[in-house]
Amino acid sequence: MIEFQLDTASGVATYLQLVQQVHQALQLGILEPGDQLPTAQQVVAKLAINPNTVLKAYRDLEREGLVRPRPGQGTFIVGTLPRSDPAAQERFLSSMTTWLRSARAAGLGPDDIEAIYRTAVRNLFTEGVA
Amino acid sequence: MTAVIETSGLGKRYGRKWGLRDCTETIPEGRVVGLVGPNGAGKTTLLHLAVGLLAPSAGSITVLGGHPGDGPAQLAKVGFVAQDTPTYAGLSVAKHLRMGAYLNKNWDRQLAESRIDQLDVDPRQKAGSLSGGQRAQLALTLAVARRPELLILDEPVASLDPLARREFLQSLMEIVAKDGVSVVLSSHLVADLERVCDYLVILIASHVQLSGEVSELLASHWRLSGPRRDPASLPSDQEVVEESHTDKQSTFLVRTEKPILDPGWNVKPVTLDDLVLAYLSNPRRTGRARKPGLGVVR
Amino acid sequence: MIRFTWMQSRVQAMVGLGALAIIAIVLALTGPHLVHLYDTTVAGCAAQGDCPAATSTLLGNDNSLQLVLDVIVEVVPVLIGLFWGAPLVARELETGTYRLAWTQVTRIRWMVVKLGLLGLASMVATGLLSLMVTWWSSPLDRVRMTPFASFDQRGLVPVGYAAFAFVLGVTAGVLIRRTLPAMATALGGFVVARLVVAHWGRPYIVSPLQITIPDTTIAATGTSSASAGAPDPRDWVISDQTVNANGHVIGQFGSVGPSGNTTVSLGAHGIAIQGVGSCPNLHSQTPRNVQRCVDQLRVREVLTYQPIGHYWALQWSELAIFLGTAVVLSGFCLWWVRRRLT
Repeated sequence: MIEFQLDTASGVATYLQLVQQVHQALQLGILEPGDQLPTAQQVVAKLAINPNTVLKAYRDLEREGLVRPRPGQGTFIVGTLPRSDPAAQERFLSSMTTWLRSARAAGLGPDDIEAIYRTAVRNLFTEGVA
Repeated sequence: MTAVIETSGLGKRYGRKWGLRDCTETIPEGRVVGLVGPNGAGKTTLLHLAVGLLAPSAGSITVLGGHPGDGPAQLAKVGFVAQDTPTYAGLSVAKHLRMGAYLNKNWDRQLAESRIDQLDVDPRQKAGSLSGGQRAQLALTLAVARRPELLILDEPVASLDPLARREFLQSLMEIVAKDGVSVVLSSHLVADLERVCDYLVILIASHVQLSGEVSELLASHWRLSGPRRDPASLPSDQEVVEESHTDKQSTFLVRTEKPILDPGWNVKPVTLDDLVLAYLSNPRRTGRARKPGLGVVR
Repeated sequence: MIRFTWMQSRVQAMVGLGALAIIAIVLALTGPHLVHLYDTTVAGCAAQGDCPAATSTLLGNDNSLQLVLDVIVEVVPVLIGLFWGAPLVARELETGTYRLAWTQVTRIRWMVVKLGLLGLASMVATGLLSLMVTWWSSPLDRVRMTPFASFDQRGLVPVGYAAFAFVLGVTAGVLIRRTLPAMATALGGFVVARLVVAHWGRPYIVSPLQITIPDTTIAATGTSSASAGAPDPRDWVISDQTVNANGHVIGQFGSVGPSGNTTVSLGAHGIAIQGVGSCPNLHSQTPRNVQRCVDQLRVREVLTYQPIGHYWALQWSELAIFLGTAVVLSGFCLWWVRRRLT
């Protein structure tokens, strides 16, 4: 069974760390479909975190189609990580490279570009929260 | 959603000084609520009002739908661990458990005994000779084995060493996971907040400065840094919590529900610890309670 | 809550029981001897004409024990007030354990059970003590014939003292909130209350009787100026005033004037009693003539006293005063703890 760790210095939200660790475990083959995730009680007894955090992480994983709860038994792995389509990755890489070239031609340096990138990502992904 | 604690204009006066003032909050159930503030801010006052050890000087407070301290039924709903975890120094651990059984109808003897077993302490040992961590666990057992709906803890880990603190929090979180009990936890320490609390109330100088779900608070606070700027020039929907300036640069911690569109800013999210520290160092003098903005869509 | 109170007070209860047991044993060992001595020597002494000798022998027995017992009966209520009463609430407030106790049970239930159980225990323990000491002392008391002198240490009143001292201690603890100052205050309050009641209450709470008797002190060449005027030697004389023909008080205990020595002289106007008048018809100062003059001038003694018949009425009355006060104070404590300690 997977054992969760918590990195308090990373600035990443706790539930997100749990989700990421499940993702990594799936990619490394530590977790396979049919395996059981630790119960909320087990996780918090070791990590001293809010059980709602664990439940939230497991709900996110369920939404991603990776896990499913079985009532009275626990939460089990049911899926694998979707391998992202290599062709799609290739397409976005080349359109990004084009954009970066024109940004550099306009005089923007790497830090300007990073600032713009972060602003855009944030605005896009937080729209659903506000 | 039901509330575990509801206050309306709650205040408590000691002589001429107000220990708590204008407190109007609705604390939802099923949360681990962190009540944060410096020493003397009014945390103990608020918690004592919630368990009936104090009576309000102004306003009202309802706990789990009842009046605090009003009869055995109300007392049975709330488990309390006071500051410095008071126990009877001359009574043994076993006698404390018997006290719990004598005084409480719903006493869960098995739970109490298994918790004490885990402590690895001789039940005949007197409570006065226990270590701080062991006493805190005993006090927690006395509160938890009553099977309350709400647990209120006043600075339970403040005087514990780091290991005892970790063990106490592990215990507490396990109890929450198992029983679904709501918890209100006060602390003047800021560390460990984000991992444990999902609802926050910041209390400074007898007034509530901020309160809300942790996830919402984190989603609405940002640290902006960029070229030197006058805070008045910021958009009106961005409320400045903290600001600092050098001759060329300004850094703001703002609260806003809207996206931040200005590309001139370097925008970073804030950790809960940093957010609390910012409010602690910049309390509003009027002390009007800050509420989450209206129109927040869940 | 009852079982919890017992668990918490077990040590105190054991100490009290142990002390009572020791006293009971000592009294059981020495008591019968006193009874035997009484029956064999004093009971028949009138016939044999050696009463003074017999009584002084009896009274000389176990002298130190008599003293110790009297002290114990006086002191036990004080100890109860100080060590059971004062810390009851004050200790919880001082150590902060009230934050544990009063979130497990309501403070009213807590107070009622503690006051009731420990108050009852105080009364029962002191009652037993008083019973034992009264029994043991009865031969001596019968011989001494001064029951009112040992009023405080016999019979029912110690039970009232104990109840009052206990509740007074609790009240002091509730108001002052710290154990040591509460103990000091309770001690002071108890002493004052006892003195006030003994001095101003006990003589009058059951109406005393009053008689007027002839003044034989002035004429007596004798050694004692104290009047033996009350009907029964066991009566308690509260005041003995010398009055003249108009009924004005002119002295105490049969004598005239402040010093206790009445000046009687023989002069041209016959026998003269200073401060009263003279009897011109009497020309020789013999004891019989002085007495005639005293009666002629209508100098008399007015005695206010509690007869021996009032003894138990006074015991019950004083018990009622202290018990009643204890009840009132208990009510006050309950109210204060509920309303004002928040």
